[in-house]
Amino acid sequence: MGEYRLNLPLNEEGARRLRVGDVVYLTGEVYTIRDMGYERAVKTLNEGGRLPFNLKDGAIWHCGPIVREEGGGWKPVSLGSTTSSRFTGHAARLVEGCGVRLIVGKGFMGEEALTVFRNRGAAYAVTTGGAAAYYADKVRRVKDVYWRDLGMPSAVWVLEVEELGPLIVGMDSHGGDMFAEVSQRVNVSIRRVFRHLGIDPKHRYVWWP
Amino acid sequence: MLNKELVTEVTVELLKRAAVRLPSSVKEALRRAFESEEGELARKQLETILENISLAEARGVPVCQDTGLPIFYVKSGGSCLEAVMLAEAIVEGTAKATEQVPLRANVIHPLSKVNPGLNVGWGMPFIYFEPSTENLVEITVLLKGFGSEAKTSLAYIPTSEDMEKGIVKFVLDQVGKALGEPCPPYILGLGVGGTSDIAATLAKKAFMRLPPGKPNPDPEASKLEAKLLKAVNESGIGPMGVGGKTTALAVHVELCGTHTAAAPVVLAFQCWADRQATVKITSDGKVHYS
Repeated sequence: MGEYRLNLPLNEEGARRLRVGDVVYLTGEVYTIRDMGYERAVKTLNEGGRLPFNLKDGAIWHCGPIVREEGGGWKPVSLGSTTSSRFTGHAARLVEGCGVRLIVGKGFMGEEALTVFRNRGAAYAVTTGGAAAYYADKVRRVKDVYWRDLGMPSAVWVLEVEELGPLIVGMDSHGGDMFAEVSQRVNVSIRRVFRHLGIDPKHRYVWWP
Repeated sequence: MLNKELVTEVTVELLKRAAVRLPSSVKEALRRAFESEEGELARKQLETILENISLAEARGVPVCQDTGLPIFYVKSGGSCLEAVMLAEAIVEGTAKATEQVPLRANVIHPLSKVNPGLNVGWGMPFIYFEPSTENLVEITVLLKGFGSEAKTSLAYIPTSEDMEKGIVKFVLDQVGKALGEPCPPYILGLGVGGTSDIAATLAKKAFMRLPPGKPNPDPEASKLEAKLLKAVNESGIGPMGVGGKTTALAVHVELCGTHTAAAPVVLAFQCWADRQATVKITSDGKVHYS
């Protein structure tokens, strides 16, 4: 497992160097995106349009921040990751359509993302969920904002970050998937608990659903 | 004097406290978890969590950027008119706190997705009222983040089954699917019995019980709590799902009488960032936060 201090933008070679379990610190420009932002971005791409911001060789962060308007600009208050599993398809689309190299979030992502990471050369790295005061400290400046009509959580914020991390690489471009490994281990442990407590893992016990 | 102005002001302060600092017993439980973990990855997660908690307090900023949906639990010995005043003050206080703390403006219209920006509208903030014989008003707020909220699930276990086995199976199946997503180490709340809505309300009441690990006085329920805690932690999911000993800080069960056919069981997750705060206001206007 390696430790990398990465500067953004990141080229394909840089992204392909990352392996599951590596620890990463990011410096440079990061774009936040989540639910409604993704919906708009994917719709725009599917209709043949272009996004108003450039994600080529860039990093996106599944984050709906708290920022404060101050002196004509924005100050970071609390910034942390939102759960990534609901964005698997959207994220894959942005890696394919815009050349995103790194996705930052929390929790697992689905198979579709793993395939695209392998084909295009991209990776997914996770933060510690909820540690928003800690990560806000790594945001030097809120540089810009797009799609403010979506509200503060869902707008696309352009952040200048310094040593954003430690992030752990959860999915890489070589088919590595930390979450599939954890899930397998957990399933084995849960089976053991069932056996120990005399619970039949095949029996439903439940009436509905 | 207990009046609308005072309650509005108290609501702002209560929301600030809830968003910025965790209950001291939750912090202690997280510290104990850090001390007991051996794996490097698990320790690193808990170290970041503890550092984050200290930073948030020192800077007076929300501990997590998802300041959740504001859910209020009010106990009052006053009149219905007083309850109306309390509700108005809580709504006003929530809008003010959203700008002042600041809280993230999370509340949107569920269909049009319009966000008015103040965490107010279409029934939010939501307020539960409970009558009380005490001559004071007690307000508890829960800021419920959605990473853990969206893992809530319901099952009906028929009485033809072994209830305890059925519940353990249901809980572990859900926990095994959720993995690190609800931000463990979490507190699990289980509502058992009544109808689905009652079980869901009880599940939240269960995870809000402080300190984490305080047993239910019902011996059957406390036995189930201990069994579930052990089973969930044996899953090995660990802090943020990176593997480790502490998946749950506690499992709390709340019961309600149920139908002879089946018991609805609702499992609710409270992430480690357990944002809740309580205040008592006496009729002469004395305010005490806890």
